[in-house]
Amino acid sequence: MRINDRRFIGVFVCLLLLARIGWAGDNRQTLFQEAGQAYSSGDYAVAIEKYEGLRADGGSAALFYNLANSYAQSGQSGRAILNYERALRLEPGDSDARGNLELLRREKGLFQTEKNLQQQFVGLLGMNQWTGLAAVGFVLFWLVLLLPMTSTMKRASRYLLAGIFLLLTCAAGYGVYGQYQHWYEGVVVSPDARLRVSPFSSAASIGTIQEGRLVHPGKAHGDFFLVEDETGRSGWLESSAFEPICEE
Amino acid sequence: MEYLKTYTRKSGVGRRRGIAAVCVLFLACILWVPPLFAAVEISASLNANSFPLDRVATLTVTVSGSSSTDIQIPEVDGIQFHARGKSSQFEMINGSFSSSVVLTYLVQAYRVGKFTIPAITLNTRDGLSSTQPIRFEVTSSGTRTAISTPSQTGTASTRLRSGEADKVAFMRVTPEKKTSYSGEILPVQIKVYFRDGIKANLNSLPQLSGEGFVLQQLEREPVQTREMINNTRYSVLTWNSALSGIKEGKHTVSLELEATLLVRQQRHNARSMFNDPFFGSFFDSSYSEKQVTVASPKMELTVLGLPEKDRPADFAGAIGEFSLKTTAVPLEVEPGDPVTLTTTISGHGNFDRVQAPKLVSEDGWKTYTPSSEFLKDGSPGRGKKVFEQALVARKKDVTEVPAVSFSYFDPRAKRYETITSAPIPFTVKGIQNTTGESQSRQKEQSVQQESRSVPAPAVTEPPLKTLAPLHLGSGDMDGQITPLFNRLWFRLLGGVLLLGLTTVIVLRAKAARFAANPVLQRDQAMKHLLALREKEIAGAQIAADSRRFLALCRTAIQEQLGLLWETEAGAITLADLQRRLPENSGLITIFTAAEQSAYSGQELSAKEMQKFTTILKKELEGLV
Repeated sequence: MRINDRRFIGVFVCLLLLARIGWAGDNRQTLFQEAGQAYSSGDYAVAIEKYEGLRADGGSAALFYNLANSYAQSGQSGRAILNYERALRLEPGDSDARGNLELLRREKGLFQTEKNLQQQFVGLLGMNQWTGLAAVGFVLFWLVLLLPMTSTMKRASRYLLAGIFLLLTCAAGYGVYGQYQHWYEGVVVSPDARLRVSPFSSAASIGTIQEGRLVHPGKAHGDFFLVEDETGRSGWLESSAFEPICEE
Repeated sequence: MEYLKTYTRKSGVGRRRGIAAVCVLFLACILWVPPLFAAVEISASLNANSFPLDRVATLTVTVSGSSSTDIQIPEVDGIQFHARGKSSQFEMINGSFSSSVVLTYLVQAYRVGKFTIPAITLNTRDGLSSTQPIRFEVTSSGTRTAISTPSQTGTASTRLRSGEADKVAFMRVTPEKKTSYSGEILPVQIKVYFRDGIKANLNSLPQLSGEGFVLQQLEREPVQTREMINNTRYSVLTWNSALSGIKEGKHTVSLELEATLLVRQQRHNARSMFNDPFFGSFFDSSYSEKQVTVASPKMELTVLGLPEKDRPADFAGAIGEFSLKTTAVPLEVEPGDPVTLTTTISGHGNFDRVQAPKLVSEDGWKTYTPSSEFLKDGSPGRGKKVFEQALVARKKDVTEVPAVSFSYFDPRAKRYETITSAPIPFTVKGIQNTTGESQSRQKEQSVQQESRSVPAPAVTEPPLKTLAPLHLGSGDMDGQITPLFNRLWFRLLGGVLLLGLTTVIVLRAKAARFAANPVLQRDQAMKHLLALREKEIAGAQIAADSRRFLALCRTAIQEQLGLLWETEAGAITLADLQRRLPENSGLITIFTAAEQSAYSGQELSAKEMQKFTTILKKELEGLV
């Protein structure tokens, strides 16, 4: 009898937990839809507030994309670009996010230099796709080499196949490396950010850095980071003037 | 005696070799051991404890006893450090060996005030080693610099002025002209002469002394030549630089340079070897260091103010002689695409004041902040500045990239000049670039047609209206912007895969080793067969079937010896055993008993079977 009671209580608690998770999911979806309605009616500030509220519990490519659209419409190009970049980190193949990002960059005069062949190759897939491909290639390479020899597979075919998988692993590894170079970049979100010669507010300014510019942060000192932007300019930038794409 | 001579010769050779070995070891110890165990020290010094805003000071960081120079120069508000080089020095004085690395930085200040360079630390094997903080003051421009002399003892400071009869070193500064305008680049040649045979080390670059002018940053490496003056040969260091007047009026300026001269000193020794000048100079001379300041004669230069009359509105301070060239690419674009307008201003003058030329008309264009790049052209003040500016046509009927204009002051003609480029013909795709009234009418028509056929062209509507719409589904809200290889599950999976892979590789290696080793294979087969037979023998023993027991014992002996001797097991006879095994081998006893049982039907008791089993097991296991 006691055992049955315990089982009953256990099942009840599980059901409660499931209901709670389901309710939370429904609640998020409701908030997401409300934010979308606010956007449609042109109330971008409310849309941003609701989307940002949802971000506190996690994020999805769709959420970052919608948030980016809201920021773009409200004139905050830096935060818009930041969130498009975040959406693309989660879903590199999202053509909407890519298209909107390009449009916004063009509109704000943030032209990027033409990519060379290597950069185009690295940009074919996202970091995680390249990582997965490298892992699969690596496993297949060893599988082909270690599986027992069968009469249907000759030695030459085995080595050819292994070579192909090794090549795939190396190419994907290069893709991972290339993507990793840009993984920890940040986006300038302040409209009047200035690069300075040393990490102090009173230091001389090298020049302004446009909102929405991608920067690669290096060493830090106090509230400043030594950054290099896409055009190769480097200087000290206040940490509040930019936000990292990857919030790790 | 012969033996003794040989011994002596041999021992002499041996001794010489021994001495040589000891010398090599000694040298190795001298060269390598002291640096390994020498105490690591770091020190820093600034060549000036006070310097004006328009000058720089030199910070020297010396790391002794270590080749590591992994130091971090601390950040100081209002100060910037420019690394200027690194040099290594190895010294052996009186058998004491030392090595040091000297790092040099230029210290540039951005404001007046008192500053402190905090302690510079170096990680050593004994812990952290750090310098003392350095305090210094930056004064307003034009204040006299207090140069600190690094060595106070054993050296004398001599001031050499041009005009002295026996000049060891002197400086000549030749400006292109004596009168210039405020902000104008005044090319100047600086030559420092050292009499041939004098060894000199430069402690600083030539620095300007006097008010009203600033000296452009000099090249670190001057041009080195030799010149004959009044039948005396000089080594000459030449810098081509420029002065720039910053204050109107007449100014007296000169240039100075700090150097260390190595001066040979003669010892007047009564016991000089052979009284020969060669030996005298070879043995009886030594060098002493002499810190000197080489200064140029003072010169009077005049700085004029720029005239107010006819000053163009877009004049930004450029003084010199310039030309303007513009290009634009692409000349045919899709609506909304940018055009890059490249403007090149070349010539000579103060390029730091040359700003991006203005568009004569921005009507119909959206413009972006231009980027600029200065390309030097050898001599100071000569080169070209290239501006790149992105432009986007706002209107569809734009047919040309607008002209740009640039104003400057020509000091030779003593007047302001404005140069204007020609507009560049340009086409937005789908629009015909035509001229004339009838053509313009056609153009208007074509624009209207275009407007009808394209419902929302990018150039006529705000681009943000064309943003792709929102995504309706929220998607998986647990998405993390984390690299796959930083995720726990991926690492665990990778770990398991690697473990499995390692296991498979080890097993495969073991199998390959087994396949390549016949002894291992034989031992394995013997163990396997023995285990099988032992089981059968035990069965026969339990069943008290002594005939079968003995037959199985004989088979086991034949199988094991067959594998060991690499012969057919069935062909092994008692005679083979007696011939190849020791006389007292238990196997011969068992084999004999088995033979007798087969031919005479001899039976064994349980005790005997147990005894045979023990012997058989022991003997056969001993074979493997």
